[in-house]
Formats: sequence, structure tokens, C-alpha cells
Amino acid sequence: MPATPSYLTRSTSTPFASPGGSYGYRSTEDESIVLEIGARYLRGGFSGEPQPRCTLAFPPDEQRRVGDYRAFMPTHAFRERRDTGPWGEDHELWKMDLRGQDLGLVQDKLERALRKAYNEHFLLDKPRKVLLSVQTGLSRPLLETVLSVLFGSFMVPVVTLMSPAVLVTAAAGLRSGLVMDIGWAETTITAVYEFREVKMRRTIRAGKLLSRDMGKMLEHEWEQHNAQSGSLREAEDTHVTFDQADEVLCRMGWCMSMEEAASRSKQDDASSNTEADTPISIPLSRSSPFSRVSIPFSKFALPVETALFSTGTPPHELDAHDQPLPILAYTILQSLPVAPRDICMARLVFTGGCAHIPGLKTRLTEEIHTLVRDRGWDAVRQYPPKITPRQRSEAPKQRSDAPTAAQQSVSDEQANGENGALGTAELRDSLPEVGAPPSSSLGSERPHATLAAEAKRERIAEKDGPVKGVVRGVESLGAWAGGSLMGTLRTGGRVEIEREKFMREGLGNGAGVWG
Amino acid sequence: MAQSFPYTYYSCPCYDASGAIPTSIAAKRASQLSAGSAQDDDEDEQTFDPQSSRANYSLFPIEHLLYCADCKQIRCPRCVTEEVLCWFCPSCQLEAGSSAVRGDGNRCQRNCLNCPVCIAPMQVSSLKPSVPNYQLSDEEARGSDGPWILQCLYCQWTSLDIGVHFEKISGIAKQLLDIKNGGELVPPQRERDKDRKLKIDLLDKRRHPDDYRPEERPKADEGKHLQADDAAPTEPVDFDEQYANLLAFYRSQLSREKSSNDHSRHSKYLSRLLSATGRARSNDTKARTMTEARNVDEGLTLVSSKFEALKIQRMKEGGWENTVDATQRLRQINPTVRFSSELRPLPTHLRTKRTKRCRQCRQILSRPENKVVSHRYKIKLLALNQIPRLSIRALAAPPLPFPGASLAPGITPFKYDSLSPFSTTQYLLTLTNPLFDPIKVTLATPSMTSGRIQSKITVLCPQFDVGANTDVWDEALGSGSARRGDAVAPGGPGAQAQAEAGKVWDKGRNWTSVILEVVPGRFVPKDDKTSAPEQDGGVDDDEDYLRSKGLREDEDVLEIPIFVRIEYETESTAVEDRERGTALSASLGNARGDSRGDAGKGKERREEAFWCVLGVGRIALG
Repeated sequence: MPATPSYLTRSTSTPFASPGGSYGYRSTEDESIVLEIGARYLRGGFSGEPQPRCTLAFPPDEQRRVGDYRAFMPTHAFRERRDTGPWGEDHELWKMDLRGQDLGLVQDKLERALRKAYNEHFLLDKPRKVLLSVQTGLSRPLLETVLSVLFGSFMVPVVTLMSPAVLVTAAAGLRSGLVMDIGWAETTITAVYEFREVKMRRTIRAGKLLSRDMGKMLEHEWEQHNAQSGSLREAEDTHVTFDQADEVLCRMGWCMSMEEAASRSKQDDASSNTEADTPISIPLSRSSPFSRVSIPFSKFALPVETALFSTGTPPHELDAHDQPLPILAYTILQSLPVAPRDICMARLVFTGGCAHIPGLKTRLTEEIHTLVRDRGWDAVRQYPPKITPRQRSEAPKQRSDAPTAAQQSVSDEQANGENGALGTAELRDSLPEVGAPPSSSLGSERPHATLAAEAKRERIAEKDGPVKGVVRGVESLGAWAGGSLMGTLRTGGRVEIEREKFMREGLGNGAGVWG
Repeated sequence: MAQSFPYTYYSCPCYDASGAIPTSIAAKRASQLSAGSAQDDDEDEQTFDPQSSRANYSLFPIEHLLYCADCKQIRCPRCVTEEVLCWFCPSCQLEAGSSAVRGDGNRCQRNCLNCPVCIAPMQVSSLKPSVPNYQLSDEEARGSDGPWILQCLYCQWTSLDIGVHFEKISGIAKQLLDIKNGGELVPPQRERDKDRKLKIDLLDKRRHPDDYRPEERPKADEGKHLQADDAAPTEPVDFDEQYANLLAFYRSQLSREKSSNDHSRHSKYLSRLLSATGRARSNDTKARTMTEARNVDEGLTLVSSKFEALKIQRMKEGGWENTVDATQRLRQINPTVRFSSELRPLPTHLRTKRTKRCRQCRQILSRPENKVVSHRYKIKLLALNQIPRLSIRALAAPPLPFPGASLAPGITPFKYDSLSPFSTTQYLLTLTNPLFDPIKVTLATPSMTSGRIQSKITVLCPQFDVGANTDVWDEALGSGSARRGDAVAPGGPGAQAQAEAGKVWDKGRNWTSVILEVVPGRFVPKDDKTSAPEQDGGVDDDEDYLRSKGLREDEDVLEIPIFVRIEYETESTAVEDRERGTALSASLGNARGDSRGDAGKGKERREEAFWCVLGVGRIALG
């Protein structure tokens, strides 16, 4: 029977396919350009390559006039410049808040960055298709600005829009997962199920807040340092600029594990200072390049605690927009239907700039695991006091069967692994002490390593079915690499925008682009 | 300003031409809300504001501008399209073939590498202690064997810092690909692919033993060493390796789906029929064959607390110096490196020679010669040859014989960096005409500069003529009238001249100078809104924030926007030229739009108009 050859046959690899260029770069002519545009960085490169060709930021020094070379002057150290305007504003491409945002300026900035990418890194001889990954929540005027730059200035024939959450999932080798994008202005947590975005929620606890807290911490430490080192220095201006805070965050920021955080919160700040805490000396001073400020290493983890985990803020002061990350992830998992929840909780994928902070992925996994273990999936956090004593009296009886509640919860799910619904129902029943304070001793008994081992055992136990019902973190290569994979596999996109049509009609007023 | 005072910037008219791109109603509404474009409708009538944040993108020194002779407009780098003529390495000056370029990541594949710390070019040098042997020629000395290293001559970073040395002196960039940091060799791509295939096959046989014949099924202890079923690796998985694994995994998934479809062609045919009749497409085959990655070789890596703890430990022990800064990190091929021991030398980026075309009419504006070493151009239409050049200097400043010349001792230079507020300063604005026809110039400036420091500007003579750019000898050999400038208008430093309103200060063959009077304003930090009208009227919080914080960068620089309009008569070249001329004058909203020369004489009246920004100095504070 004659049949049209499948579209996929052409794209799949054959023994005759070349193993790729020397850098992993492929010299094929029809690879498309993959762009990932965020508020702080633009990544661009060709599909089929593991790394983007360029990662461009939007610092103020890039925004100067042509012929203004002051950024290269030896006197122009970044420490000398003071910030004007709100924190970090002159380092970002756009704000989510369009009030007071000059779209023309966004266009100018983006065009300059893209021109740099095209002229210095891509070196194309003819226009290529573009695979664009921008946040799905990006407001329409901004998306239109991006598209008009691509179509208007770079003669791109077709732009394919891809959702970063889906790309991140694909770049982790998964089909479903809970994608936590800890980005610049906000953290987006998206539940992806079979390559579909099922649920998304955001919080402002992300990079911007984090770098600001880092700046505050540095200022505080600097003042203390000056006060200690003598009266001469006290008059020194200890304003920490955005550049400094950002750099310190990228270089020295880290995240404590749950144990460390718990033990730290028990102690006073004063007493923890005296411990054997390696001092890290960093150059902060503006006055002379050689004077440095020594800061204990543990201090560099504090901004992460306050900014992302909202340590020190009572829960009732947190509003819907600034929930700490573990709580938000838990809330999303809770609101998911049972089957996706089982799958997603075993696939926590972390991405975004702040996810590179060492220790953060482990910590988030631990926190979410603790939350799930302590609260179950019961939407009610606190039962009326009448019920509680009865439940508490029943609790030890139930628990006597299993070694610990946590192991029971996991093993229950393992037992019912083939039926996710039953598994979670069991889990809920097995945790009757709802509203009881999370016991920190359990958390310290079961570090992440055992969790991973458990997950592995579970996987071996049932080889065919996907892992579900346990909390597990998975590494992803990121949205750009995901776009690069999808581009080279020719999977095609849901949303393709053609140049002619866009130039004629714009995005139009019809259905949304992501529809 | 890195550009030293005084300076002139030209504004390319393309900055407000972005309206040509359609935007939906939503976008328009949003842009109306935003500050700068509130009066979009009468953009032409608006005074150019050099302080607005968008001005940085539309102002250029005249040397950077091209001129399209067909459109009769200035063309900036934003309004040209570019075509690559050839690729070359700026370091070794050798051309790279177009086919090889992209395969090598647009980087030089020879010995051109840049230092990862300071981006200076690196040198290949021998590790052997160099015995000065003057009998040996340079060639022989270099031919001496030994492990070779890369060395940065600027910051003294060597490839030994990351434990890398090379066996051969040639093709360093290629050799570098096969060496990991620390000196370990990377197994060739083919072996890695083979290894991965073995593991995955084994895993597949274990998972689906029924799909295989009994003799093909794996024995119980076969391939234990391959660790085929482990998603928690013993050492961190390389980024590129994981990518390759994932790519291979997805490829195999796609091909498996295809092959399974071949086996069950009938069912597929059936499902196609079903979908054609509107029934849901059967997902059975897809769901069975497409799975997610399950181990490292398929691309799945679990978050490992061990590796993260190791990283923290390294940060703790190594301290600040052990980590790389932001610029170094972004330059790396892998932009997620954290420690200085992970840095890699960077092969030099290739550069290109490009043809530039006008975006509107596709005419070539500049085309360099194809040869890499040649600096000549075949076509080069510079704005410099078409647009009058404005130059400005303080009248009190002693004239320099040429730009950049040092002053004679004893004469104090004019301090452009500290203009005293509220005192009148006179500037000499000189227009030089590059055209071969005399031009009529009309200048216009706002009487007050915008922004929070308001300075008063007066052009004493806003309308004047500038002579044609005739032969230089005309001036030298010409009659007294040509040298009238020197005789009549006493521009020399010795003469005590008074600037008079309505009169030009000085005049030469193809240049005319007029006086510009400037009264710099003063910055009052706690200004109320009546005396400092909100020119960018953004969000109130921001405005207050700025006011409390004092001046923004460069807010104290006194820049004068000036609108220059020139009119001249020239030989008409073609009919369409005239049409374009009319279109241009109409677009400028000129009242004298009908000022076309009569066609009988073949003369044509033309107009040009553009905004310039004159940077006249920095106002002293306090």
C-alpha cells in the first residue's frame, strides 16, 4: 500500500547522520534560531546545540549612545556608579507592570541586544526562523513589541512561540512535572502534565527581592565592619549598588539545608556569629580598591532565607502575591487532580536564574517533602479544637504499625503505586494529626539522600510504570536547551506567527496567542 | 561624557518611524498610558528631548551615519539591513569558509584564543624551561618539543591554572575540545554514542523482555558495570553530555514510534480513518511508545544534595577569588560556570564584512571590498558628505589649530566641565557645507531646555546662508570677497567684537559661524512642581524617588536640541528625485511646500531637516 512517508522519518537520526561539529555545533543550514527572552537576560543560539551562542544582559552600560565609550574608561568602575531609580530597574528589559513603561524604550533595548546577537554571534547570511520562548504570562503589548522587533528589524519569516515551562520539562527528559521558574521579578510555578500547562501560580519572591535582601545584608555588614575597624572609616558611604549586590549573590549566594536552617533559627544571631564560620573577604569599598570587608560565610545564605522562604515573617502577614516558594508549590500540588498530582510531585523541576544558587534545589525538595508529609493533601489546615484531642489520641495507635509517619506515607503510596488515587487517599488517612506543628526531628532524620534512595527502590520495584507519589527533584537543562531540542527534532509549535500576517494585522484582537 | 565637550550628535529620523509596524489597540492604549509617548499624534511638532531615555538609541555622531541618496535621508545602523560578505578571524586575519563557519560556532579554529579572565589574546608557549640559545633561529626555537600551554600576556593566566597542556603546537583550539579541565581526555563522540546505545539497549531488553527473542534477552549479571538503571550518577553530569543523551533519547523515541506504527499499519490506517470521520485520534500507540527518560543515559538527572553540598563546601573554602565574575561567566561557552577552575580559554569570535542596504529602497549604502586585509570600500555613502556639519565651541575658548592639539602655554583652556549657572556664555556654532551648492540654513531651538535644570538658549542669528563647497583654491586664490570673513567679521582672539543679533559672526568659503547664547540653569533638589514641570511624568513614586536621590547620571550635562533645516537648489537628476523631494517637503509640513524649481532650467529646490544635539558642557553644582 503506498503511503505518504511520515513527517518524522526525515528528522530522525540515521547511521549516516554526522555526529555533529566540534563544539557540538551542527553545521546544518536549516537549523532555526532559538531565543529565550526574559527580564534580565536574552539567550540566543541555534537549535541542535547544547549551549546558547550568547547570553546578553541589559546593563546600563549597554544602553549608552553610540560613541560613548565611558564604560571602557579606567575611572569608570562599576562601584563608583550609584543607582538611580528603583532597585535594579535600569538592569531589566521590561517590567510586568506596564504603567509607566515606555514600550518604545523596551523596543530600543531589545533591538540593540538582538542586533548584537545577530552581528557578533549569529553572523547569518540569510534570515532564519525563530523559535521564541517567552513567559506565557507576558502581557500582550510586550509580546507585540518583541514580535515587531523580530519581524521589523530582523526580517524573520516565521516566529514559533513556545512555553518555557513545557520546554523546561522537555529539557529534563520528562513529559510532566512541577516547573518552578525562580526568575527575576517573580517566581512562576507551573504544573505541566503530558506537555500541557495545567496550573500556574506566581509569587514575587524571586531574584529581584533576593538581590535587594543581599544588598541590605551587605550594607549592614559593611557598617558593622567600619564600626569595628575604627572611627576613621565610619563616615564612609556604605551604599551598596545593585551591581555589587547582584555580583555577590551570583558568586557567593548559597542556601542552607533544612537542618542548618532549623538549627540556626534556634540559636540567636549573636551566638551563631561566634562559631567557626569561615570569613569571606569581599571587595566592597569604594574608597580604595584594596580594602575589603570580611563577612562570615553563613551570612550569604540569609538573604535566601528571608527572600525565598520568608523566614522571620509570620504567615498571617503573607499575602497572596508573596507566598514562600515551598508553600506555593504545595498549594499547587494540592489543587491538582489526583493523577497529575502523583506524577508532578515526583518531578519537581527547578529553573530560572536563582535556581543556580547552590543548595536551593535540595532545600526546596526537602521543604516540599516535609509539607506533604506533615499536612497530607487535606485542604483544612486546622480542625476545630473539639476534634483535635480525639485525633491526637488515635494518632499513636495508627502510627504504631509503621516505624514513622513519613515512612508510612511513602510506603503506603508505594504499595498503592499503581493506583494514584488510592495512594493519596491512603496518605491522607495515614496522617491524622493535621494541623500539628511539623516536627523538625523527622526532617533531620531523613535527609535527601535517603529520599533519593527510596525513590530508586520504588522505581526498581515497578519498572514499567512512571515514578509517582514520592517527592523528587529533577535537573533540567533549562528553557533554552529545551527549545534547542524541540527545534532540531522539528516538533513544530502550537503557535506560529508569520511575518506577512503580523505586519498586516498585528496580533489582532481575536483569540489569545497562547490559545 | 566619554565624548569630550563640546560635541554634536545627530538624530536619525527612524526613531519615531516605528509607528509603521501595526500594533493592536491594546498596545496603543498602553503606550498612551506610558510617559514618553503621550503626545504621539503630533510627534513632528515635538521638541526633541535629549534627556529622554530613548534619545540614547537615536543619537549618533555623524561619522556613524550613512545617507541614502534615493530616499534623501540619513540612515543609522538601525535603519539599514546587512548582508555578510565574508567571515574572518580578527586575530589571525584569515578568512573562514562560509560552510565551516557555523559548524565551529563562529569561532576561529586555529591558535587564536582569548584569555577567559581578561579577554586578551593568548600566546602558545613551551613548558620547557627556555634556555636562551641565540644560535637557534626563531623557527627552530619554536620547533622544540615539549608540552605547550596557553599563556595570557596581560594577566599572566595560563592554561596550567586549569590543568591543561597541549602536545602539539598547531590546532590548539581543536585540541582544547578533547581535553577537560584537569587534563582528562574527552572520549570521542563516536565512542560516547556507542556506549550510550549499549546501555539503553540493555535497559530496554530488561524492561521489555517479551519483545525480544530468548537468546537476545540479557543475562542476570550482564552489564552490571554499565549501571544502566541509575538516575543518581556518581559524578555530576556534564551539561553537554546530558543534552546529547536527551537528544538521542528523543530521537530514539520518535523512531520507535515510527517503527511501531509500521508494524501496526492496519491499526494506524484505521485510526486515520477514524480521525478523518471526526472521531478522536487513538492515542494508544503513542502512549505506549513515548515515555519519559528514566536514567542518566536517557537524559534524566535527579537533583543531588551531595553535589550541591560539595559546591557549597568549595565556595566556603575557596572564597571570593575562587569564583568567576559576571562578565567572565557570560563570555564562557558554558555560561553557568561558577568556579575559576572551570574557566576555559575562548576561541576568538569571527568577524564579518558586511554590505549595508537602505531598508526602504534596498539601495547599497556601503560595501567593503571582499578581501579580508583590504580596508577599502567599493561603495560608501556617508552622511558626512551630504549633511552640513555642526561644530560648536565656546567663544571664550582659544581656537585650536586642529582637534586634539595642545594649547600654547599660558592660555587657560575653557572649562566645559563646570559652567557657572546663571551667567551668560557665548558659543560659536559653525556650519560647514559639504554640498556643491550654497545652502540656506534655518536653525530652531527651544528657548528653554527640558528637564529639571532649565537653561536658556538663544540663537542670535537663526537664518543665514552657507557657501558652496567649491574648489579649495577658490578661497585661497580668490578675490577679497571670498576672504571677507577675516576682514569684516573680527573673529580673532585679539579683536574685541560684539555679538549682534541677526548677524552672522564669521563666514568662509563653505562655512558660517553664528553666536549661540546660553544661560545655564541651576539644579534645586527640593524643587516644587511649578518650576520643574514633569517632563517624563512617570509613576509618582519614581518621580519622588529621583527627586530625593538627587541628580541622575548626566542630568547636569547641558545639551541643546537644535532643529536644522537646509534649503538649496541643485541640478535635478531624475523625475522620481523630484517626486521624492516633494514628498519630503510635504512630510516636513513645510508651508513653502510648492517651492519646486522650474523644470525648464533643470534646477530643483531641495530641503533637508533634522534634529541635532549639541553638548556644550556640564553645569557646576552648588
